[in-house]
Amino acid sequence: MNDITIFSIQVLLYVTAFGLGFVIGKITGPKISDPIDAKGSFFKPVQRQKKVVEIDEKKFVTDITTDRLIKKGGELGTQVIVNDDVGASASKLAQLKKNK
Amino acid sequence: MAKGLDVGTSFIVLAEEGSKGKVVYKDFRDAFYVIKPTTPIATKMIEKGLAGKTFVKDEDGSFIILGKDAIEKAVERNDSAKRPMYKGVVSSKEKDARRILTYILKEVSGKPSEPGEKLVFCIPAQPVDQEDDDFDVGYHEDVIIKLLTEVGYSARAINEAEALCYSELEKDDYTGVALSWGAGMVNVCVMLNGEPVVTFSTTKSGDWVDRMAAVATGEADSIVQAEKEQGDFTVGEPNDNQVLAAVASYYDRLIDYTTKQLTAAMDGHKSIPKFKDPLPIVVAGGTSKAKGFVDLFATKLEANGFPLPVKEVRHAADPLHAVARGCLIAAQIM
Repeated sequence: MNDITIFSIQVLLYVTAFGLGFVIGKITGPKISDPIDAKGSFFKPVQRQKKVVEIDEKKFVTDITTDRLIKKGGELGTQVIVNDDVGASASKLAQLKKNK
Repeated sequence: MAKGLDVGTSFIVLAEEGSKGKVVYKDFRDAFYVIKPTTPIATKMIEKGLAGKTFVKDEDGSFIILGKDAIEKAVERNDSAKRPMYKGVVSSKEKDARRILTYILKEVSGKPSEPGEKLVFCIPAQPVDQEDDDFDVGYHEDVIIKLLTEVGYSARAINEAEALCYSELEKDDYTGVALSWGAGMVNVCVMLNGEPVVTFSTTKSGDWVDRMAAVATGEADSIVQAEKEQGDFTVGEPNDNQVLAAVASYYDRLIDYTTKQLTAAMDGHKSIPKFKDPLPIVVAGGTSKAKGFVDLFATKLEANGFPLPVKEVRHAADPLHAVARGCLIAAQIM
């Protein structure tokens, strides 16, 4: 083996050893992450990842009393009676829903 | 037993099954008018004048006239009756709205025939043409569920146009499009084999026609509404009566607006399936009862490029009761 071959093998071994060390270090080393201070440019700022925590703002239904309204006069509403077998329609729809 | 309840801006309709093969509807005009007497003599005179009318007396001594009597009294005084609901939900504009709506709903729905009787009521869909904090369907639903539960019902909400589909698309295997033209809103549902695929609403309907015609003619909304409901006019056609001429014109604009909104909302919508066959389109609601309405709606749909294939545009068999009927059907299979 001439000198050039020995030198080439040494370089290859060093590079391989460095590469292996780098990969092992990446895999086993501590994870460093800083999502809060993520950097970005002035013109393209990096948005911080926010956890979505929402408060329930649904309007509360307070008690509604109608006791102090004293009914006078007639009944509320006009009655209309029609011939309609609504039960058959309900059965057909129920069957359709059941078959799905 | 079960009940269906259409809680509309202009009408509240209760549907329940009567003796075999019959359905009993109870209709109530969703309106009130308050008269506050200033002296004891005035109190006696007003109470005498209200004989035979539907009204309640409040703790502060004022008289709250309800239903169609409220509209008649308001027209008599050249004033407008108030509404406990506004654009499909309980009104935040009227101080007494919740209390009066509660009273009306309790009276119209009556007591359940058994504890926990099923009752399905309708609610509107989220509008596509308005973002308004006042429009809170969730709160509206909660208010109605609370009051009906207190009365003893097991209550659940259904989308208004979905209920209309259940009522009117039986012979089409529950596939088609339904539009409920109420006073405050137009509710839309596209249904495929009994499953709603798209629901939405628009916030201009009969009340918008009344308001615009009232502004154009300088009349009160109640007077325009009364003329509209009793007068003879055809949608989009001239009329000798100036109020009816304005109403007919604004109807034309409303139909044009709604068909354009329909086209915009459905064109390219991801949830709309590829329908094999042309679809039936059913319209219902008090606003759709005007003469020439259905024909003009069909014409405008085509002219404004409605993206789905249409088999026919038809009126519901009973346009005022169709939603309540759909709620009743839903309650029976709930």
